Amino acid sequence: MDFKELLKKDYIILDGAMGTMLQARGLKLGGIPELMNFEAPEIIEEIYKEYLNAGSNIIYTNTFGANRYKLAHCDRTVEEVITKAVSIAKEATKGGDALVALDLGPIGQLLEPTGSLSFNDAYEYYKEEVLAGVKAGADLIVLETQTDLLEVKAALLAVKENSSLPVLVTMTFEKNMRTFTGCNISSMALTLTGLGADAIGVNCSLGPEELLPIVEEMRKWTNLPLIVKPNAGLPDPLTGEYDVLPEEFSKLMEPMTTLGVKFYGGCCGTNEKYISSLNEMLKKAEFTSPVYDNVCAICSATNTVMINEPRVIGERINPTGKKKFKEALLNNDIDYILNQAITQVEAGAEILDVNVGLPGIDERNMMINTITALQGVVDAPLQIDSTIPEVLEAALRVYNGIPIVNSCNGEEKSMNAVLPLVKKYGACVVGLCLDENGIPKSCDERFQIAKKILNKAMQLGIPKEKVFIDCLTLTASAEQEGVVETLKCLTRVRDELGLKTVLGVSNISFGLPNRELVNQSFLTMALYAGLTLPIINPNIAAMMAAFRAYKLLAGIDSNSVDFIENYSNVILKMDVCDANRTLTDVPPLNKNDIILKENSNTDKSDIETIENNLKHAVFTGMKSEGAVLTRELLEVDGYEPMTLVNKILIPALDSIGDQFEKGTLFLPQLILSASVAQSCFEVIKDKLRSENKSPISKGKIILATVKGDIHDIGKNIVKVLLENYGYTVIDLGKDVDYQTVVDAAIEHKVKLVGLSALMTTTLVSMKETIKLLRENNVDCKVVVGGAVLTPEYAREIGADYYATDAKESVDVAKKVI
Amino acid sequence: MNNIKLSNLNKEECARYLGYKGNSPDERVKNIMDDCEMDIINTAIPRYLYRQFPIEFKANGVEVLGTSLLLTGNSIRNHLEGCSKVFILAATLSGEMDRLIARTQINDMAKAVILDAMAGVAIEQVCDKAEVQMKKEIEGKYFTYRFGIGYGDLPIFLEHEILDVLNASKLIGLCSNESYILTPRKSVLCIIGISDKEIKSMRRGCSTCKLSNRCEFRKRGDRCGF
Repeated sequence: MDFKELLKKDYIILDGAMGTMLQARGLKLGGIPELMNFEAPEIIEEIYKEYLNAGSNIIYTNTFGANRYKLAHCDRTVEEVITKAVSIAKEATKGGDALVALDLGPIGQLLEPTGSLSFNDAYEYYKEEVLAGVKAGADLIVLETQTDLLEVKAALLAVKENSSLPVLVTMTFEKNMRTFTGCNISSMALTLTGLGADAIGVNCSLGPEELLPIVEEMRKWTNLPLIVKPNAGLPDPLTGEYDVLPEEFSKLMEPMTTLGVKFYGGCCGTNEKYISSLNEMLKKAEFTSPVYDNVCAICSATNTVMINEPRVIGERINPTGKKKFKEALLNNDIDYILNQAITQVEAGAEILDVNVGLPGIDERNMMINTITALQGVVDAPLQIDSTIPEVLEAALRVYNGIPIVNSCNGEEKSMNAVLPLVKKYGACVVGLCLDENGIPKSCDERFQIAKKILNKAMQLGIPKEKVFIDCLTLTASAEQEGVVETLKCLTRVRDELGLKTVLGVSNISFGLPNRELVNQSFLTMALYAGLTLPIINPNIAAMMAAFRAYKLLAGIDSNSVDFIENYSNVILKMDVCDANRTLTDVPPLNKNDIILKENSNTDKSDIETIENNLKHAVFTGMKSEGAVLTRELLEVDGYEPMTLVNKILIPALDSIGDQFEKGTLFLPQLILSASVAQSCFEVIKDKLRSENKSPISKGKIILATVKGDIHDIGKNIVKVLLENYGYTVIDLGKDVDYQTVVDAAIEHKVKLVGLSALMTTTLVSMKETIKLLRENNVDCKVVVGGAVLTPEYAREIGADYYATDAKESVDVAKKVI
Repeated sequence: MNNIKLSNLNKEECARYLGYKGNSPDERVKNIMDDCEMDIINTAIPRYLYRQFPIEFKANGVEVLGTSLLLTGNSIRNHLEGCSKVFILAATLSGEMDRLIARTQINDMAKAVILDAMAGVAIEQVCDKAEVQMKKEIEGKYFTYRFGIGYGDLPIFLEHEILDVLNASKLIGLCSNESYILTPRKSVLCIIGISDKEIKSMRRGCSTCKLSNRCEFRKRGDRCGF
């Protein structure tokens, strides 16, 4: 019998525990269970026989931890362990119908950003196991007890790309309906369904009673057969004994049969008696086909966004027309992008568009780094925006959840390049209503292209609800009659094709005065015409206000709850909302706002007052005041930015640094003041940019937390201080490869490289990095720092300088540059 | 095991982690500390796990019976002197805590630094509360202080095996990477000796600590407090 044949059965019975069975037979805690395949194969076979006699249709090989990471300290290879384990299972099933599943548990270390394992390394670990399992003749593959959705994704891709075997995936949830890494059930089900698992479900952690609500929730988000493999209840903290007996276990499992659960088994604490009891229960249970309504949703690992009502896609992560963003990309300043993300989410964006395309940078790498970093700090699902299929695929691989791909168009070439990727990774896609002939003028022609894209997607097996259509916004000033065509097209796509729609809104007002007013009005019209996903700048209060007001008026914001929450006691000003200000800070609109400000005639004593106030703001750590006062000073005719820097900011910082050194002022105060200075510098840089002058920089410095180390807060403090003193910091992040440091040092021609390490175990990486810099004759000095470092050790590993704290690293920078 | 809830995080301890050496933070920093305390209580998901094992002193180390574990080095041998059993404790504030600290670093570095220190206070509180439970379970015994893996000359490379002994990745989501950094970051893995007799006051002093020549606290003229 093969898996396909087996699936015809109403219910499929899996096996019970392996680990606790082995412990009952003498395996020591901390011992490697997979070595039992060699040391006592007869025991393993005996356990299988018991499960097979009890009615198991599938048995799991004893390979839960048979990966290269976990087997590192034993003398057996992954292939040896897997070959042996599969052969024992095969031997046990000989002459029967039962199938052998290659069982793969988690690798045992966490993926970035919580841990330091990269997606690609995780993939390679699983690939090795999968290849060995296929070679050994496993009938199917099981991924179980997983808690990190991204790790499961790596594993599932490794299975799909290196075998044609069926694959079952189960994750482990807590009572709070999340895994240890915070992954929720909807995101898990949507993602694994999208990636093509054959069945999904839940195993371990809880007993059948506690798992029932989890399975109920999972049912809502997938049409796949479900798997349930609970523990024998909960363990007693003192004895480790589980508290549910076999008969009770199968009785508690009975309600699962009404939810379309197809696969039944047991995890920790269960044995053949539990399987036998399950078998008896299922013989009598009536099979009910699962009920499932298609849902349209996208997700990150921790947050699912249903596309069942209008949602805002934030447009700010995009360098087009933004000098500052381009600079950030060139300097690999990921923090700048993360800041954009956090600000947009706080302003109300539920999805973030991510476009990092810029001539002169490696867009693929930048996209991977950006997505990885974004996933570490925001929950909002992402829309991956690139015109290059290789970039899209790289992003789709590392994305943790179901994203939107932006975009493909009606050209055959575009559809053939993009849609297969969308299918493979289970993503949603934006189809643009244009083709090789450009953007059609009429609604009807655009509608035909939308239809063509939908048909092509469906031919490839992409579910209809995953296709969103962009009817395209034309500029009203240039093509006024096109506005109505776009609106008509939105309505037709919604009504006739039943699809959700996307639209970049801001383009409508290009070339017109008072653009926000036009954008705001168009947004309301488009939403009414059928727009589901407006791509806008959520930091503009007026746009979010129009959006929320529409939802209120259209009856989507039921009882106006959301609107009232956001706008009670708030007076709206139609202006860009400063990231550091809340709506309540904005003064009411009055006629003064529309009177052009006259040239200010600030006299000398006023200037002195402002300067003193600014110094005070730096000393006391008042961030927004610092920025406001800087702006005031720069508005004074003839006041030079460098005067401000040299006369106020640097002396203030020096004095604070001295006090810190003397121990009269402490780290939080130092950083508070540094943050004020940073906000002042931002204002200065903005001013210089607006005057097309190059931003002030004393020179570039590279900072990195070394390979293997993931403690980066110290390095980040140093970064803030160095930037204060006018240095441009190229921040390579944490866990940085030796070669990456060398490459960056050469590329940016830096004079100083700063390395940080916190663990005694990672000091060696610091040494290796310095060695590689020297071997490559990179003409730079190296400063090192970190809790476990000493000046002696710093000398020993070839560093030029040692800095005890952030203040000292500034002193070093002054010496070198 | 009962759920542990965080409460009233020790601000003086937090200030000490931040290098205040007995000085009192100003009002502004105190206010940020209050915010951080609330954030941590609302965000961290304290998880912990402990198991009790008998031990036996062998020539090559201390054997943890029923497991594959052999604790080597003089520090742990001295630490467990007079003990017949140990508790091994693993505790974490969860990945949510790491995410919050990472996110805060993006737009408020000063708060992030305080949050990081306060999370250090929080994980110690989880351990303290877990110890209260342990003591309830075996009354009338005496406990040593918590001995971290890698402390003294107890090899840090035992960390992976100890996590396996506790099945910590499966039960509380606690792992460790190739550099033996516990992940999630705000976590503790330690050994507590159990003795029938009173244990002579053995505070961890700098003189017995192998890290004393490179200790962050000592560099700034302070002590870590153990």
